[in-house]
Parts: sequence; structure tokens; C-alpha cells
Amino acid sequence: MKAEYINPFVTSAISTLKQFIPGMEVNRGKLAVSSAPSQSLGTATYIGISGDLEGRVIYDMNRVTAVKIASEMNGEKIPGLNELVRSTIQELGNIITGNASAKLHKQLDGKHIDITPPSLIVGEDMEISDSISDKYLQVPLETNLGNIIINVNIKESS
Amino acid sequence: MVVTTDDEHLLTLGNNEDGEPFKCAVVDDSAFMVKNLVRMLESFDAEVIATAENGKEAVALVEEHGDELDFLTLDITMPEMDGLTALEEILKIEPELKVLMVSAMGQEDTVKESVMKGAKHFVVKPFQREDVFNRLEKVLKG
Repeated sequence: MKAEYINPFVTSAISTLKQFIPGMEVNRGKLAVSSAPSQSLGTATYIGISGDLEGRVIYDMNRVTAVKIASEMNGEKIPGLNELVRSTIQELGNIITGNASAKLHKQLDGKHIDITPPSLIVGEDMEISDSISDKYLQVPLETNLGNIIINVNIKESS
Repeated sequence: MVVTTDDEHLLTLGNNEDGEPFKCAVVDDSAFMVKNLVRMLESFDAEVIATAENGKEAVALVEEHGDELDFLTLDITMPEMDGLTALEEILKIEPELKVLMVSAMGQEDTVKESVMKGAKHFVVKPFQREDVFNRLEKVLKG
């Protein structure tokens, strides 16, 4: 997998978070290669990529961070991981991925990219694994609301 | 993007040809986005008469309420039936209905395809309140 594929997701994540939550502090961590299966933080949004590229993206965070981010995005304090938190975190992943696909479309001379509706998987001791490849590129975002790990596994469609 | 009470009601779409508030529907699979769009549209003095969470529900919504609607906002990436397919089906039922696409899928070819299929305008998520208002003004009064 090419490292250039992950950058649009990272920049879209930073700009989307800052647009929804003005004043949010977001720092990009170091790129790493993760061997699947890897341990999830507990609240993972899965989005499939298809078209001229194929694969998936996973936005992983812990439950506390998910509730904090959703509370900020909704402008209200949400007490726990309810349906509104699930919907908000899924939509955050959808928007980041949609914006990133537009960047990739430009970057890759018009390659068309479709994305699936997001799925949110919540649970302790979950492992992230994949049938496409056993390697994910990972970039952590360190924020004042907690860490978000962006996992990207994309290749050109065969 | 959250609408705050400070800026509510500073922007108003006014009335339709019947002298009534514009009537609309919101189609998006995200409850978070529906909540935000409904609140935003109501702050523009539009009346949201129905919502749907996928393309199939949107088509059913237009079959039932199409003749009452002045406009409809339509997401693209949705389960059951995506927004571009729903757009074609909706315009077969109500060819004059004004549809504003509201999607994170801002790829140039997707925007072009939407317009080719009959959408009046396209707003890319995440959006600013003024962006939605300005595009709606163009859609409704242009």
C-alpha cells in the first residue's frame, strides 16, 4: 500500500474536526505500519472503499473520547454512548472519508472512489483484522478530547 | 457547524408563491445530520414536513408528500438506495421538485453526475450555515 493514500484521510480528519469543534487541539502523530489483527480502542467506525481503489478505513477511539467528541459536535453534554453518539461518530467518519475521497480523486487524476455507509463497532477487547491485507497504515491524532487512530488499508482495484 | 441561538433567525428564506413558509424534507441516514439540518432549515423559517433515512424511504416520502414540497435535501451515501439512484426516482415522480444534494462526496464527477441527473445544487459536508442558506436562495429564487 502506498503511503500517499493515507495523507488525504489525515488532513481531512484534522480539518473536519476543527470545523465541527472550533478551538480543538489536534496533533498528527507518527505514521506506523500495523500488522493485523491489532487491538481496537473500543469504538471503531468502519468504512469501505470501492471503485478505482478498494479497501477500508477505520477510525478508532475509546468510548470516553467518542462521547466527548459527540457532545462537542452536538453542542450538548451527552452522558454516555447512546444512539446520538453512535450516529455522530459514524457521520464524522463518513464526512472525513468523503472529503478524503475527493482529495484522492484530484491527486490520482480523476480516479473514481465510492464509499460505503459507515458501520460502528463498539466493544472491549476487539481486534481489527482484514481479508485484503494483513498490514494497515496508521496515523494517530492526539487531541485534547483523546486520541483517534486512523487506519487505512487501500490498494488499486485489480 | 452547530447552529447557535445567537445566529438563529438572522437569515430567512421568506415565503413561497402561496405566501407560506417553504416546505421541505430532509433525507440523510445520519440522525446527527438530520437533527442539524432540520434545526438549521427551521432557523431559516422553512417548514420541515418529513424526513427519511435512505433512498427508498425518500422515494416513498415524495410519493406521499411530493406535491406539498418546495424543496428536498438529499444525501448520497446511504443504505438501501443511494442518493443518486433516489434522485432519478424522485424526479420521475415530481419532475419540478427542487433537490439540493448535501453530501461529503464532493468529487467533481459526483457533483457533475448529480447535476446531470437533475439536482439543482450541491453542498459539501461539513458545511457552514451561510453556504446552505446561499445555495437554497439560489435554488428557490434563482
